[in-house]
Amino acid sequence: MLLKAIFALVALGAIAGAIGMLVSTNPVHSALFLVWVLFCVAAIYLMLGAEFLAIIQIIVYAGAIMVLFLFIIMLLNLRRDEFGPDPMPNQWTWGLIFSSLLAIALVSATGAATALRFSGDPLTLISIPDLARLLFTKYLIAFELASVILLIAMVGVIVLAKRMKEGA
Amino acid sequence: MELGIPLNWVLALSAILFSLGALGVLIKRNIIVMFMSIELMLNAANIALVAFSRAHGNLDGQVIVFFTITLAAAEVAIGLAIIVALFRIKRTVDIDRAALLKW
Repeated sequence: MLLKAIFALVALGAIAGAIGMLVSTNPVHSALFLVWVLFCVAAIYLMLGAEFLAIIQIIVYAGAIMVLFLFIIMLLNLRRDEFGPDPMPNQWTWGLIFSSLLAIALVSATGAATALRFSGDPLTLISIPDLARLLFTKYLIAFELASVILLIAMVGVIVLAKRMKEGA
Repeated sequence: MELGIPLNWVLALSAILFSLGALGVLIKRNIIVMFMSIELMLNAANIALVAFSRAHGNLDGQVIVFFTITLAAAEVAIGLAIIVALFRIKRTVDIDRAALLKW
């Protein structure tokens, strides 16, 4: 019961943060709201017994990815008029209609999942060694490919961000 | 011992966060905030994966989330580099001005 209440609180916090991200006009505020949402998601991972993913979420997502976002926002150093114009007149209306239709469809589909029940005590479940075993046996090739993708991304970023010389 | 959180609550949260991310992509015209909304949608999908992994009692879902986070890191690095390159040409982050390929 207590866990249910905590989950509801964290979930409402995440939703409120996501709404805050959408309504704020300053991209720095949007990024900080997204950091809050990512922390809430990490808390939900903890409640679902995924400790390793919660730590990774905070270190990689909130730590590295969002710092990169903030770094780029501040590097571009946008003036107020460069934040982008106000949305087009009907953009909010149609966006709200389509996304609420999507939300209704998805949420009503989750009703079919009530038959499934969680099992196991989340606090005594130690999943990190099992996760590592799975990662280095069944998913070994995918793991190695992920490292190759990170390398390619690194090279790609350097190529993209390099200032092109005249006539090159 | 049964975990107190019903699975459909977690899935509903995932669905709502995904819809909010989709809303952000639809209504925002600042390319950086649109990119953040895509990150929000990725996170919503990750929540659903972790919830199902927990419900079925196997860890494959968590491994997939691990890979998703890795790919998100690569994706963000590339995407922000593209945004910086675009900003050098157009001097703006307004998505409507990035219409080089538009007929």
